[in-house]
Amino acid sequence: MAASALTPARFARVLGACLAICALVLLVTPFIGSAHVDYQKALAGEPPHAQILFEARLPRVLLASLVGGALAVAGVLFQALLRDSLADPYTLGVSSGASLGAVLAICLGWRDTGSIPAIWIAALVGAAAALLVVMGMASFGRRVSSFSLLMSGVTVNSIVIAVILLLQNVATFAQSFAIIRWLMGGIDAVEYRTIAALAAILAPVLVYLVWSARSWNLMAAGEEWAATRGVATTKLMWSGLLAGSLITGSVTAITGPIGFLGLIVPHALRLRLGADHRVLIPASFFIGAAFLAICDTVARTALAPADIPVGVMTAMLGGPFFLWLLRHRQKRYWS
Amino acid sequence: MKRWLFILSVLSPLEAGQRIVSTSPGITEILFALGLGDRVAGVTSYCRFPDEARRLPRIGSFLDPHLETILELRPDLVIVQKNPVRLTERLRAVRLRVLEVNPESMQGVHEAIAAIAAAAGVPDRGRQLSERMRSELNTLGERAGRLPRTKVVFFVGRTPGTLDGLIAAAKGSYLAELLEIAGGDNIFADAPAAYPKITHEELLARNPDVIIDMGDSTHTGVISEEHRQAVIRLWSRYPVLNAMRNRRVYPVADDRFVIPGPRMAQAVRLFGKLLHPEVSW
Amino acid sequence: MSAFVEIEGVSYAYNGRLVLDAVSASFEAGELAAIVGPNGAGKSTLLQICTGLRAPLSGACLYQGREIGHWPRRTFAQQVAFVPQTLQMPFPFTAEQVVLMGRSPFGDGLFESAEDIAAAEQAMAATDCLGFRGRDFRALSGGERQRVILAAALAQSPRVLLLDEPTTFMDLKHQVAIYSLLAGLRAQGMLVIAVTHDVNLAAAYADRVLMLKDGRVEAFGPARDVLCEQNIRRVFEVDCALLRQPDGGVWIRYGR
Repeated sequence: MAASALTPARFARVLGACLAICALVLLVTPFIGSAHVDYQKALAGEPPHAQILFEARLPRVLLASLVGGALAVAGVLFQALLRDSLADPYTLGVSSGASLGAVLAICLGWRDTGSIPAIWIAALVGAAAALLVVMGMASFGRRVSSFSLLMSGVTVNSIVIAVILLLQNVATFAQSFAIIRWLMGGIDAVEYRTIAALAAILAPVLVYLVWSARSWNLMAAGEEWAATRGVATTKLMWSGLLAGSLITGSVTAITGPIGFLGLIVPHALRLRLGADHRVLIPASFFIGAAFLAICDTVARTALAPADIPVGVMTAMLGGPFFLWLLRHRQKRYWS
Repeated sequence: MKRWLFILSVLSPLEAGQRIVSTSPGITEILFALGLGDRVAGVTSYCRFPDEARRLPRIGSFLDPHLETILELRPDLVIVQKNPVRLTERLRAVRLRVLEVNPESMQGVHEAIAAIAAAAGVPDRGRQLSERMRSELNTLGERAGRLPRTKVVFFVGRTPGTLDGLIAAAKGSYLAELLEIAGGDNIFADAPAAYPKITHEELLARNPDVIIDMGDSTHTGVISEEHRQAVIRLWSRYPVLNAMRNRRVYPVADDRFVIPGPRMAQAVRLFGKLLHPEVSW
Repeated sequence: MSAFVEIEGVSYAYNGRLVLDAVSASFEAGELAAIVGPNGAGKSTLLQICTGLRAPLSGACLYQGREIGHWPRRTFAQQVAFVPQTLQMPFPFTAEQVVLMGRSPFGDGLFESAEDIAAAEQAMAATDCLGFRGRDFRALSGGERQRVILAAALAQSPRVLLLDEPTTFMDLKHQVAIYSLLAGLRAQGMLVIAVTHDVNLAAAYADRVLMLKDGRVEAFGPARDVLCEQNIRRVFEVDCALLRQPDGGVWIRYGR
């Protein structure tokens, strides 16, 4: 059970364990796949073995782990921000905003803008726009409250989804096909520079979040509680909102929405490690990363050569485990 | 009296001058190919072939038909392509005569031609049309049969501007049937669905000689040179693919690939040119 | 030289309804003051203004001569601690984790210092929380939670302690223990201001009492002057009798 005061030793022990799990998964999953790869030949750079391993499989594993870690952290953050353990990275409409951007790009036929696909840029802009609307609606003067955020987030979410449905309805057949594909979400092999760019966005946000984790503990316990313990609550909320949206927006732009993970990973870890965000945030990153890498490995191999949308796997693998965890927890609680 | 008229109209085959509404582009093409163009009273907003069809009243789209517009056209017969919006049931509920067809495969197209021709009272024209198409396809098939088979993949969709979410035409799809006739060897023939999303890994391992990419064609129509270059740039990420090495990645955008219908021989001929440019088609 | 905590003509309104009307009072270090009054008198609002959670509509609330809104939040939190009635906790923090949160105005790093841990330990011992320190805060009884919240405030080692109905859910033993604890803190020089509706606890422990009704000060002064029969009848609208105890204390009997 969770010890209370967080000592550097416990911090290192718990995160060491999570990191080890993540590392193990990242070491093993690139060696699992549907196509036959001769690893000696791959290391010698021989086609197609080298390309399958280094250009198709490895980037996919890396992207899945980054995205999984990012979404789990975004889940923790939005749960603390909204003080609601049922919140997830999509509650505030950031990802539907991203979806709307992508759908618009598809409908208007926006194509390349040089090196970055137009659809990613449009999705990022959509996420930012949704965030601005939510923040504008939720703030009274300079103050913002969890409740008003939740309400305006849910509202913006439904409006944006309605617009997406409308656009899909007026789109051509090929367009609505592309829209549905995008809304299903999924991990694919992207180029290494995309992965590097995503990591460059995520790293500082993660460091900031761990650094401000004690404030998030107070915030999770209540805005007044935090304010009377010296936390600049409004500033913290704005920066948290920005951080969470940056994570969700950039990830969603590349992969489309991937559900469930941002909800269950933080929740499962909270049951196991307690609520302290200093542990919860980095642990969620590592376990989220491992979890999505595993889900994606199943998604790309189970029905090969077909690819299952990874959101299907997160729900199908994560759901039963989560139910078991809750049940187990209840038993312990009552006995 | 009215009831008797209604029953009569249900029983009798259609006569010239009666009004037919089509609810899919494939059905529209069949109607015109059967020489019934002058009876067509309404088409969908996606019906762009033949040109005459573009000038007809629109009843919405395949997935979003407007019931009221259909009623306003006072059709004697509505031909419905089997679809998920329960259009047939809804039309029958308002006592319209409905013919449901399912031209989603080559066999389905021939059956649809026969059914539509029979309902319009011109069964002979239906037989003739099918016969003509079969013999044309036979000729093409024989020509392709003498050639080595070309490993090919046809991508019907992907996330525009990226190589994410590649959807291939696999076994059981109409496109796979056409490619087969044109001398193609579909590398995803074993996939568990007709239109699966496929992994890059498997694409690299199976290494097609030809990639036909309809993925960016959000507006079906013509491919500009600029667009063609953009698609090639995307694929240049995998120079190890035979299709890239031999410059045989073909961006396409053509209604004939997505509308199963009387123009299937033309589609096969287009494929033949891409798969075997060394012979004349 | 102004008072330690000074409330100067403070007014406050919710949606246009005035809940505090030109309230003035001042408190000194080393006293235990009680704010009493019926429901809706504005007691909690006044306390929240003293904690800086709300800014007064007009008037001013000063701590050490400086307006509370002008204090840097952290510095203020190092000196003034607030004990809310309850804490709606959505996540499984343990009792000890909640207490340790009180130390956050003092630390900059990721981890609590040895000093922080010692302060929390002492606060938990003082409020009798050690027995359930490792339990989920949400699984505690109402009284236990209130003790944990109080411990968190004590861990802040404040110079001013503001409490909103701190003993509502506690059993008699702990009510008495907590008020004795507050009296002890007062003796060490702390200013303790507690909102309560229990006039007997106020009479037994408070040095001075601020009596509010409908957002106005009805009486403010030494407990034995303010808690007289006329004031209680007028403010609480109940019949009552003041019973003098042999040891000099009073017992207020109300109702039947």
